[in-house]
Amino acid sequence: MGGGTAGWMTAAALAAVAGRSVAEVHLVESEEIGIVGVGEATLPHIRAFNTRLGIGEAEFMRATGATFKLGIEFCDWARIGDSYIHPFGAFGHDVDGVGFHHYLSRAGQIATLPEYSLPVVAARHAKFAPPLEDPRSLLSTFGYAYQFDATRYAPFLRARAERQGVTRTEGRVVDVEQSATGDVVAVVLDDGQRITGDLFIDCSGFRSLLLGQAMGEPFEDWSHWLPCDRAVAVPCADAGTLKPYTTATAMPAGWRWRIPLQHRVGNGYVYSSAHIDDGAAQDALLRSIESAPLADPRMLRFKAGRRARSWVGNVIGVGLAGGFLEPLESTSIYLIQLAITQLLELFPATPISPIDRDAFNRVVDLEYDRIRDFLILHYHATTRDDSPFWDHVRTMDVPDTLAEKMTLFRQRGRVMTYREGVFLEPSWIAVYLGQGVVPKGYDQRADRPSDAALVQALARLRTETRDAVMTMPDHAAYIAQSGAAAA
Amino acid sequence: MSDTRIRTIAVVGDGVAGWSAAAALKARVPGISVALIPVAELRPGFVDLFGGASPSIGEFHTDIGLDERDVLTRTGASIRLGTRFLGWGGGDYTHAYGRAGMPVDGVPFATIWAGSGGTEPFDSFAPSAALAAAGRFIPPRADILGGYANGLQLDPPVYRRFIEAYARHLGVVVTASGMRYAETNGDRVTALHLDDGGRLEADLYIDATNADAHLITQFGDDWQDWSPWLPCDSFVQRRGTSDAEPGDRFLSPLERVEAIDGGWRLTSCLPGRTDTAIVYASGVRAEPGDVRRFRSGRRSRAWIGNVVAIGEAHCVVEPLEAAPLHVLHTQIDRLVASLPDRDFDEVELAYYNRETGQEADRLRDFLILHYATSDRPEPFWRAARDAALPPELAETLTLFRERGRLPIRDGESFDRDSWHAVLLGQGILPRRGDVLAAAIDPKRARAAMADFRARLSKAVAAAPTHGAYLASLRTNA
Repeated sequence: MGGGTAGWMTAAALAAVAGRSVAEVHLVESEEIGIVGVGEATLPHIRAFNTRLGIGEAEFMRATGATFKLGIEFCDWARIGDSYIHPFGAFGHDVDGVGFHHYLSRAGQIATLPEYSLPVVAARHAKFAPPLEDPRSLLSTFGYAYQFDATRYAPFLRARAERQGVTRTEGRVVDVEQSATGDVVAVVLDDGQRITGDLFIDCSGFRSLLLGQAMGEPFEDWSHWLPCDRAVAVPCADAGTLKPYTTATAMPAGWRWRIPLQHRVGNGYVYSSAHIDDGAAQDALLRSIESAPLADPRMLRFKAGRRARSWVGNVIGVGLAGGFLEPLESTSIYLIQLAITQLLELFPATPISPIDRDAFNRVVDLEYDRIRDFLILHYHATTRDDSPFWDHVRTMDVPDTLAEKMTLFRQRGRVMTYREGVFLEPSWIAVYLGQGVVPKGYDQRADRPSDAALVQALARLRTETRDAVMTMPDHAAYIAQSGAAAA
Repeated sequence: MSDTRIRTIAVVGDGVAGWSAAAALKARVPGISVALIPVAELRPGFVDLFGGASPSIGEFHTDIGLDERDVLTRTGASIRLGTRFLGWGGGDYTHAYGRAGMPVDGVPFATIWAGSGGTEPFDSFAPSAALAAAGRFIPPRADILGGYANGLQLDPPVYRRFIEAYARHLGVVVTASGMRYAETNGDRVTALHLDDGGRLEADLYIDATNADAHLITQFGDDWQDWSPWLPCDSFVQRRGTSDAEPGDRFLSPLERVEAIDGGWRLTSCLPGRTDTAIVYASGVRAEPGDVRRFRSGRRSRAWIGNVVAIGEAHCVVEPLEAAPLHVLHTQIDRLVASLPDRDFDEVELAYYNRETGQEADRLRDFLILHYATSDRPEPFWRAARDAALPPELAETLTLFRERGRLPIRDGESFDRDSWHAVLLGQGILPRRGDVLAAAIDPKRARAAMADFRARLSKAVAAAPTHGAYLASLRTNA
């Protein structure tokens, strides 16, 4: 149900991976209903998705006007004037099993951590080349993602999915037929067509037509922690060097994204309507962009949180129909991908077993909870007191799970690790430090090297990192030479 | 800022647990002094009596600067690749470490195997199991003989002396007289009083007194009893006599565990010697000889104030799947990586306790799995099978039985390969095939499997025998 990014990613994956012998895939969408997709910033996982579907990188980038992405820059978050990058890659390397940041803490140089991240340094210099495979090379120590035009990604996937046997029906759903047990039997379209199915995947966006409306699955509201509930978006032309990263700049009542694509820059202000009105937010956005707007501003409304369960009966909510977390850490497409991967692994038979549903929901819940904590950290760990919005997020109670994580890091630089969850240790370290959560102590094992040896080794690694970056081509040049440039 | 780092550590207990912890702390944490305090009539732990060690022992040795080849040659140990199970459920089978088979079109081998009807044993596709069956060993390579890690089969008293000598070499100091009692204040130990009247203070105290748990029990005894699922409570050991002709006879890199009414019989091979033991429930059977008792379970908190319980002082597990040494080594590793400062922040301790407890519980579940999936008819085994399982294990078993899926949780010691080996070995097959596996042409899957087995048996035949491998270490030393 629904043909936005979530709908076509799901349909394309089902068609490519499972094939017609497993299930007939039928997608219903209405051209009257626009898709939410603005500029989309992604996480490195998107590459695995494209690869699994047999999509070549250059072809994908040309079709979607994509650029490479080494991380996200955060400006003005802990205090006005700050800037840090959350990179896709580690800082330095472990020594004797002890995390690199412990050695920097010991040396009293924790603030220099970004200088030991190859993707951070490369991003600052607008350089890009794909990572090498040789694990001994510094040029292998990072991952990358893309920034692309989501309004072009869905049609791109659609063309592939239709070639692989997905049936597409144009129409607006006007009625949902349910059985006595509540399962969805069919959807009825505005032209009277009735479409039946064993499994319904709700990709209807915020409306959550099947999961929220028909099945009545309650929404778990997280807006007390993540109060932003609106966004206004507007594209403009790139006025500078093509950057291999997304920028998220804190604003008085939220934050603003800047996503550089090949053909334009996507901008948007994500804000809390309790703290600023729509007109003022739009003005603030238009004042802040680097060149004249290329289109009229578009407004989006949302609420942070998720449906209590993503899979209920024979309905699975994928994408915004299942939940919403603001795009601060580019997790929207990742969450779609997670749902698809789980669906493929747990592909049900009829009748659908509650075991499959429970397993699916457990994984999705855990992932949402962990991303939620990670997002809240950005707001809560701040010294900003220049607006009621920042006063609220700075002083609010946070989930116990996050409070514990922050204490562990503050005490001794420990990062709580887990098996399932998208953000790994380097991400937490980047954001803790970027947000001014600085460890008081460090792992005692970092006392091993002598002061002189440590200082010397650090200086060498810093130089090597910088030198390695200087061998990389400029981001724009690499796009051109790799054949990824859109016509 | 005043220096609140931990500088002195007292390890109480001079068994394998105490010496291993002392050696690891001294080797891995710079700038600390470590004292080991013996305890008169220390109750031996499983780690002092049973020599099975999982691959985690390799990391333990590497981390403290020991070369495995030295350990093997100096302690008369052998290679352990897993366990051979007889009479538990399904047919006899091997749980050997590491992967089995090869994925086809991205579909995991276990799924393919289950989908193929499983006519050839699952373990016959596991490189380490194939080596073990042939009495051969070679360190893992990047080709078909790879994807596994080896454990060790130790001779416990010899190993204890070896690790003691190494700890002393690293600078661990042992007190001349043993501990009489611990002086406490609130939830802290303030000093240890020794038999010769001496008094010893430290920043941190490690309780390595095995099941007696002399230190941690000062702060209460909140014991979580696992006997409803792990019903054995007794064991007897019979040490083998030395072989007349050690030579290059067949030396199994597997422990053998045979299910019998009321428990199981363990056979472990060292170069030149074979030991046996019976682990059983005293309410069901009786054994002659020197019977020792134990109770499976764990304390809720391993770390209280300035005392950390390691090994059996925290968690007692029977010597199935080489679990006791595994628990000890993972706990020591966590302790070394988690040293707080002398403020002993509650959040740090709570995190340590949660992680340690979780790890113990997941290992418990893996051991229970063996009992819960047996198909033996005796009342003892039926009762073990019918027991209401811990919820995580119940969920895992349901998911696997229903559709062959295995959630691997935080704190899991054994990976999917191991769960597959035991589940499929005990004859538990998923009721429902996997959608992705169904998309693969069965002819192609069968051909890939046959090809893999052929290549594997050829590679195994070219590997040295276990005895020859051990001999080569002595020659090269």
